[in-house]
Amino acid sequence: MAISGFYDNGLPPAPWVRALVYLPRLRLSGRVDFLIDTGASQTTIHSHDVSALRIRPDQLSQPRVLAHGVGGTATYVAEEAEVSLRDAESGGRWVFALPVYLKLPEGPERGRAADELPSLLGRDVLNSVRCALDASQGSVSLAPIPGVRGLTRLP
Amino acid sequence: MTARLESTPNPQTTAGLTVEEFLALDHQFEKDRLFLYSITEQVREEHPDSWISVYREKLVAMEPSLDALLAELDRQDIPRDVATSRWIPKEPEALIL
Repeated sequence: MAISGFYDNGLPPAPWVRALVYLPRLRLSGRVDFLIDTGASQTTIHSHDVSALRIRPDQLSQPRVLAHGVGGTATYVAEEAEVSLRDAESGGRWVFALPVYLKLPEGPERGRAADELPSLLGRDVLNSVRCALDASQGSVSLAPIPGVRGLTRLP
Repeated sequence: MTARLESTPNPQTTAGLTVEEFLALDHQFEKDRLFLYSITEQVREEHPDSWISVYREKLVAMEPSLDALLAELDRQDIPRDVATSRWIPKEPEALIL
């Protein structure tokens, strides 16, 4: 049982995985392609995908949280989510229940560079899987570790 | 009985899709991704610094900003998250996260 991702056509290619993200409080769901990023502590949905999911800033009154990256510090909002990843072998899906960080498409941090940032699948998910990356074969495989808290397999 | 995602249907997103419908879309997403890759260099050469969207293996939108791109998808009634969208810079850019 494993989740399959893909490599993009970047130079050099980067590994991605496609997910269905459900935000129960907002009753919104949609597709998000995540860059696999072991450097990210949290799974993060950046402004491009936040806009695609039609999440509005006025729906998010939680306190802002600061996150530090190579490019500096940015503000996010933590929102409970279910991240569903397709199991390529069984056709079922794995559901990770966790807070994701949302980057709002507003404020002084907004700009072309911010819009381009990919959403990131962070270690809060990656630590629950065995991850095999083989760029030479274009192969991205995430095998969930059974029994991990917050992880459910659905048919 | 068909499994249904837990969300409340929302016509603005893929919410309300059955798992089977989402999996069927996944097949289309894959086709669209490969189509986008096939046109990336041509777009970079002819229309650099553009946001583009691919839907059902067609280039459906090309705009200078993300906001304009999403507005164009809305105008065409193409769900924003079902289209495959990407920024195509004039030169490939390094990304260090």
